[in-house]
Amino acid sequence: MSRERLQLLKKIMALEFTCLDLNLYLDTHPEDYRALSDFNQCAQQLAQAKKEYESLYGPLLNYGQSPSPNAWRWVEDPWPWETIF
Amino acid sequence: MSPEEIKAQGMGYYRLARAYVPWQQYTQRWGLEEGLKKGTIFPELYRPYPPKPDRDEENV
Amino acid sequence: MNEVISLWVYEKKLQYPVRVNGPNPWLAKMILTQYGGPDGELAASLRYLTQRYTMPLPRAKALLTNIGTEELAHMEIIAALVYNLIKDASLEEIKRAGLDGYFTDHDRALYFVNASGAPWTAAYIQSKGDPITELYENMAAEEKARSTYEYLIQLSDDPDVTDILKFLREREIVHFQRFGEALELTYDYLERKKYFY
Repeated sequence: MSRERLQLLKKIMALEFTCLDLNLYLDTHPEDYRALSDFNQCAQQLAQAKKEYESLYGPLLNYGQSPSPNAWRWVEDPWPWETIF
Repeated sequence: MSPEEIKAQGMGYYRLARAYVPWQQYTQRWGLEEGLKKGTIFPELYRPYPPKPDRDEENV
Repeated sequence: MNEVISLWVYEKKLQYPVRVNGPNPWLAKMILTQYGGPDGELAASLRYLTQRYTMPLPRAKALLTNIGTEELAHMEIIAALVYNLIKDASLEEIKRAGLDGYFTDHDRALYFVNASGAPWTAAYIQSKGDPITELYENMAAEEKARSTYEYLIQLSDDPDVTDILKFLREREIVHFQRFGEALELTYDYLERKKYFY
């Protein structure tokens, strides 16, 4: 995997992780509007990063959640357990 | 009822035969990379292993 | 007829980057317990996902869904660790690690066993119905997972693997806090139900 691709993947991991930790917090604190606003900000940045990644390297999600415009790239390697960091 | 509300009712309001976990209140969070590295974005939930000695313990 | 898909969407990336410092089948054998062992990620995931259906509080259903799903992501990390620690190991190293029995049945493939090779069983989990009981079960499960990661951290002789184990351990602490909060919410709910219904 190229350095640029790994870099982008690491950015997505970091963004998604913040979203996830806020997500769990919000499940028990749904009235925390500051956490909610942070979550939405994070989610927006995450969507952007994913869009950029997918346009270059193919879909991250299956079942129609990610576009696959020119070819069926879902079948491509590497798979997550094969990615060398 | 949160433990804070219970305490406000006066000592001894805690019920027997059940557990209480203090309620987390989000105030600050770590940045993206640090949060991922630490395993949580919330400093108050971070408990490293092996445990780091308390500042107070170091001065004893 | 419309087909409605209500199940998990797979994201083609790990939650945390996995890297190992070379083949280490002995360490893989130990880490495998968090794949198919009593306090591992499969057990955690199935426990939380199966408890959801009968939880009364919407917040609890959301939490169990989210944490149950996160545990599947952790299972994937464990699988990636074991896969990478075994894949380039020689048969000699595999034998020395005590994985020759495992190799006979599975080659280098991943299988659901604990550190001693005992297969996964539903006896590892409980779905008791009583929402308070479920949450104590879950808090205990998170503590057991935390302890297991601490033992693995003590055993690990690969610093990159240790780093990943520390990440997974910290997640268990966060999950414990969330289940503790859900416990509070559930006690509150049952208390109110007592007086107002």
